[in-house]
Amino acid sequence: MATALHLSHHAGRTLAAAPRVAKAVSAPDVYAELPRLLEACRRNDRRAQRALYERFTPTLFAVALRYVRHRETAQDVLAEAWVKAFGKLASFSGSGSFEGWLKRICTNEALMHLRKRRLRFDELPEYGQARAASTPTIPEALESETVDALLDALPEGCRTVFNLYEIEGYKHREIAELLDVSINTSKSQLILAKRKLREAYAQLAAREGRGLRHVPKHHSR
Amino acid sequence: MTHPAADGHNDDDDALGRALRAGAERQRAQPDADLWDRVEAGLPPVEARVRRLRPRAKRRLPAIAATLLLALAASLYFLSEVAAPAARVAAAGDAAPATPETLEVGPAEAPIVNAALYEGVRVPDGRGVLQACVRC
Repeated sequence: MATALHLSHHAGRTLAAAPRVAKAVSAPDVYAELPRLLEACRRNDRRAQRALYERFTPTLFAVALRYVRHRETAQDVLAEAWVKAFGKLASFSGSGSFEGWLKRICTNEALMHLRKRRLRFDELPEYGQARAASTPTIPEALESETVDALLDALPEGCRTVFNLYEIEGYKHREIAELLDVSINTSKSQLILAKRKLREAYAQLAAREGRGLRHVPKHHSR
Repeated sequence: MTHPAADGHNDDDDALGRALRAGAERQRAQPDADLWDRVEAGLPPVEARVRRLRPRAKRRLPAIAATLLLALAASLYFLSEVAAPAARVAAAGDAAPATPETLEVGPAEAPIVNAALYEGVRVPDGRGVLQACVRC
């Protein structure tokens, strides 16, 4: 029950005015190729910088919102991340994924914001206290709204660890360094996150009275 | 023996984690339209563009200068040789008759003055020289 209350509280506070929009953004033809676009951005070409911003912002904003559940704050994080990304563009070697590089900058910026607010980590309760009912059928990929609802059900600390470990693919050692906590804290927060997610998912499924909608999966890590 | 869920390993948890990850990777969100303005405010200013001549125009520059100089010289020549004398002739037509270049001045008669009135006064002698008035 507590989880359900938590869930609705967050949903009302943070994302009620934040529709997820999968909006196609068209860039000028001259910037269709990413290397040319990046080269123009390095020359401080405003049109190119705008085109790059338009191309990757929907993805980056979704990343920022997964860590910072408040839309206005997430926009602050995103703006700062873009300024840093343009400033460091010369250091991008081009060997790896540019989107991955941008996501890391955005993630670091979100973590910096969370650290300033003294990220709180709930203690892992004894087993049995948090045991959930049997989990309903899980589709291969959840819909965006379901992802949001589940993330909202998590306390900030374990949501951050879950995001870093499960979605971004960081190791516990890296998470410990990023959040300035012990590796054990990272591990326990992940366990707690999974328990809470299972509970929240069961409640969501029960509330809808049917299985959550299935989204065909294109790829997985 | 510990329950699988106690150490964080559970098939359902893994499946839910994968489903969440797959859903999260597809998430897109659009920020407010004015966010770009805030980003742009943090970027280094764009330098003002200096208009430069293209190389082709640069090569033509001496020819253009020479043509201009030639035109200027031609204009000056026209003014000095053609326009100026004509103007002088026109001006001369309107002026008073010219004075003869040589004016012969003969000896003038001695001035007739009243000695009673002008004794001691210098008077012209008819050649342009003042002489003491003498008694007539």
